[in-house]
Amino acid sequence: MDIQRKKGVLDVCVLSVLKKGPSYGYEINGKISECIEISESTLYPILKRLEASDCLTTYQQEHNGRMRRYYSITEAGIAKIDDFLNEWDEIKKIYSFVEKNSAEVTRNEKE
Amino acid sequence: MKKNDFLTKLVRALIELNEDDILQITEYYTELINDGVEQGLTEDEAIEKFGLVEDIAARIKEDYGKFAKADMTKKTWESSYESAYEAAGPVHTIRIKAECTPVIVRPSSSKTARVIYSPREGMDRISFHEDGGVLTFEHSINKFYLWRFIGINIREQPITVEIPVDFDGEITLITSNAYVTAKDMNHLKSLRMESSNSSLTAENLTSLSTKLKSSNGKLNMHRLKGRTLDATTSNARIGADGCVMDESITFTTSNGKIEIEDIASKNIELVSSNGAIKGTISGDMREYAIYSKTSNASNNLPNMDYPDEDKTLKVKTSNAKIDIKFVR
Repeated sequence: MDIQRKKGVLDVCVLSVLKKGPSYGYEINGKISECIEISESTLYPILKRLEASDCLTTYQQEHNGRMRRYYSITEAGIAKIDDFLNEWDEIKKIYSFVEKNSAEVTRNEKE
Repeated sequence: MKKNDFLTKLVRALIELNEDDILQITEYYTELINDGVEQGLTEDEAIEKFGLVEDIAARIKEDYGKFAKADMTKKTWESSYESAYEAAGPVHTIRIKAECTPVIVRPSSSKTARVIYSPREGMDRISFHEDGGVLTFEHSINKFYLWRFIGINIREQPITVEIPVDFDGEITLITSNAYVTAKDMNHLKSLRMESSNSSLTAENLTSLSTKLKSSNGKLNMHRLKGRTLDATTSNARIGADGCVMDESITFTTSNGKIEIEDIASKNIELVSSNGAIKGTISGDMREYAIYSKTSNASNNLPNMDYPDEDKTLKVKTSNAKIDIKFVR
């Protein structure tokens, strides 16, 4: 996928994972990897960016005798997911438009 | 790559960032490594997944302005590898202040004073200035290294101060957790040496006033001359030989021995507690008014006080022996 487009959707992917409940770096990365390829080093700036824009908050919790940082979604984060989903109808329209035009051209060429 | 190597590399690559941010980043990666290991990866495998340190740092820096708490341009860690800082003109006062780094002072045939030290990129901060004959060299270590990596990567490179042989001014040397040594200077007005947890050595010096101060560090004094000599430590030994002072010699420690050999002065004061005090003083015992005291141990000194004695000797400890002899 194009890097810019990927950047845009990764934010929402992270937020959607957090919408199901607070999570930590390793787990977030694992869940997102099911759908889109991402490295842990890509995740860090995303988490920081989302934190800076108040889409998530963080807290530390003990795990096996060490501290682990958990990320938790905020109202603003949830709103961002909604914005993305609402955009989807528009994107679908554009997608179909592109698809239709492209298919027509292909058909004309064949004829 | 092992965890510490990776983190050290990462910190170095991110050094211009705010310390808080560096801590957060290392915390993030430390946690991922720990989680990875918990899931059955080796440290190497967990670290391999992160990609190259250079790429990680580049990506963070690219985004940094967007989430940084502090302005990164404020930080100016020394990046040039200058290794000698030379005074432009004559100086009468030299002040060295360092952190966790040994300091050595020695005479040189040069006409100007200079400080020799190679700052490690991203780790040492140096400020060097010269103002009205006062040369100041201040060294500090990035706090991150002090917090997290003490003992790692701290190589024993001393700060070496070279001083013209005829230098007749004041020298102050302060560091921490590392030794200080000053040798072979004959015209000093004053010398002050300070460290913590490490030894101070002054050898073959003539200085009107000499002060050594440490805690937990040994004090070694050899062949010192001048007016006053003042040495204080705790939990460590004080040793002095061939030290002759016109006015006074004062040695104070606790829990440390005081050992002297051929010292002489108008007023000598040796104080410890729990440490033995022993050795020799050059001179005639009869010239001294003597005040000596210990408890729970032997004391070979008398307590004598006659009006015509113009020299004094005070020796005090507890739970340890006093054994002082006068030699001519």
